[in-house]
Amino acid sequence: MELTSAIGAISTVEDAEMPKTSGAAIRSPVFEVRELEVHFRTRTGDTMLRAVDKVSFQVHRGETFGIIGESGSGKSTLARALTYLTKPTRGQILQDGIDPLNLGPRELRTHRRRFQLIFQNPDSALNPRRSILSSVVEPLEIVRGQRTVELEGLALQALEKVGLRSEFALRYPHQLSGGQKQRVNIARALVMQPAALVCDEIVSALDVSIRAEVLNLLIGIQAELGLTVVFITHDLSVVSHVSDRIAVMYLGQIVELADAAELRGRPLHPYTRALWSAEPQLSRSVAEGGHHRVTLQGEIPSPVTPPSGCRFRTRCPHAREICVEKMPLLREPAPGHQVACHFDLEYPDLFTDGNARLATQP
Amino acid sequence: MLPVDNDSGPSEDSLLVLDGVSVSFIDRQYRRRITTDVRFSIRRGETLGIVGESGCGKTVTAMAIMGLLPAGKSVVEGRIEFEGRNLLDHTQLRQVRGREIGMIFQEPMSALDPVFTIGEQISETIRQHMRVDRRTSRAQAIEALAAVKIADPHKRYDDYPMQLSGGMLQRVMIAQALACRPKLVIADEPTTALDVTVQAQILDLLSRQVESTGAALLLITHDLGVVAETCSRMVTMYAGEVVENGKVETILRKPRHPYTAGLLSCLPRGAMPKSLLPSIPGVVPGFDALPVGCRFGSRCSNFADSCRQHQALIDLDAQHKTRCGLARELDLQGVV
Repeated sequence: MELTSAIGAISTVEDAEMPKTSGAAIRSPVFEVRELEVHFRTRTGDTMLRAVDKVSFQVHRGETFGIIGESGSGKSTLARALTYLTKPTRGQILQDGIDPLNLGPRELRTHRRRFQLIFQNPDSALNPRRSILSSVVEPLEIVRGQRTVELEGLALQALEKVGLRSEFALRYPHQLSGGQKQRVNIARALVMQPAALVCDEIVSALDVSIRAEVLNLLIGIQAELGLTVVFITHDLSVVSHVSDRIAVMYLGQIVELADAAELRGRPLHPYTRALWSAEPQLSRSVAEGGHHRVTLQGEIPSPVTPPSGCRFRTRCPHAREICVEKMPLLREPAPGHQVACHFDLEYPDLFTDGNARLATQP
Repeated sequence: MLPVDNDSGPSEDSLLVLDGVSVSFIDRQYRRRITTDVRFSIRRGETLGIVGESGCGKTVTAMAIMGLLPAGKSVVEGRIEFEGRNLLDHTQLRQVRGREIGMIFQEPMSALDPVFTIGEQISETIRQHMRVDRRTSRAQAIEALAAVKIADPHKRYDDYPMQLSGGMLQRVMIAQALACRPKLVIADEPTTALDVTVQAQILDLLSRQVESTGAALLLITHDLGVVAETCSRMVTMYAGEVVENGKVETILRKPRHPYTAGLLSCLPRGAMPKSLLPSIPGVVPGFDALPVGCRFGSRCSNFADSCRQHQALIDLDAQHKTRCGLARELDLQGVV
């Protein structure tokens, strides 16, 4: 992906306040997450909920980094932490090589514009009393201090980029469909000329036909503007479709991280494998023989009282004593493929052979 | 083409028959028709899925069958019969509802009463329909909880809904729906609020329970994958109408309505990551602005002049119906 194309059509007006990406920043990952922990105090105040617990990963420039997990896995907290809407309890997140916590208030304000979050529910993300144009102009207005015709022009261009003609500009959210509203939210993120978009379940509330349109739009914009995208979802087919690399989260931790095709074709963690096999399939049921489903027992435990050792052990079909005693750390059995499991599990053919070969790690 | 209606005609096997069912909502002087001429039937022991996107009328149809639409604010026209009994008649409906037809709702948290224990709620259903004493109903409720694989059903009996997770609550809903050994179970998006690994457990459980008791299943969902794995026949609804009805296996291989084909093609299937997904342009027409002709016409790439006329549900063969006049000419792509 060409970095020069990162300056898209909407940047027709030079803005002195917009931070310039320095040479050093371009070489560093867009997000570098080091041992991140986000804890919340529970309502009673005496226990801690570890929503994100010692998570480390990097998101490279121009890639789409998928994060998949079930409810309670900590993926939305991670999304908020990546954009500093939630402060890390421990650990560090570098954005473009910069730790925002070291910036002064003024610098921080310009810096964080480059990292935009798009929310799940298109309805609650838009103010019902503001016109579409006014919602999209608002972030620019905050930066510049006042609303001008020039800024409205930029907002209209952003709307056009997401496929909404100018006639939509003066409408109100209730006059738009769910897919159109989500386009508006994307446009609002784009007016800030971000380096990265963090998308938290942005298509989950949409019907399938609309979902396809929004995904197409996102893929197109990313290619055109060279954006880095962190795509968070619980939908397995969607995450495989859009992502270059995927991290699987379980109870606040990353249990597996790999190239999208690798993760789908050769999952190493029993949880990843269970996820893929739980996904309802159109074709396998009709194909001869069907497929072997790994049905997990139980549900994700409470993050307030996570199990000792491996957090997945209470539901894992391969759990043994060591899993109770020792927490498995992420290791890299194949280049670029990380997994947190004590065992080397081999699944010869995911969709035809239900029996995993179980071998203890040497 | 003779209108041979094998499906909606009263056959020996038919358990539930819907014929020309139209539901309208009344808002002051306005009367808005939500579903039009819905017709399909379910045979004994059959698993039928109704698919469609939000607002297509699938939940309204289920509510009409169960007589759960708000009285005075809605009108149901047509015929809904369960083993020859007219469900639009309240006296007959009450003999059937909850006993011979069980229902599972989308959100177990709001479908269960927070101030009664889960056991008492199942027990009450049993007492209401089976004329048994408290001790027997309690024993049967515990049995029902055990059947849906809830550990320690004796202890769980006294739990309140707030003490259980979403997946456990959906098991309770299934236990309650099946407690009186119904002949038909209607499940409206039973797994939509659940995580994928829990969804797999619940669908598995539901399929097994239905199979072991010999009940028929009417499964309402927007997820074609769920239908493909759970049902033998499917009905596609669009803008308040049934647009296709046939065997799941046949439709996945070769859909005969452009809307069903569109729905199938929109799903990312991992073959070509990052490629543009096919999508259905445009939006569903509003209920106030429905065209006379094909309701899908404005979004259909095969639109022809003949589509401006009213489209009837036509029989392609004894097992397969479509509301597309061009069906015989079109070569629509399946996914298998």
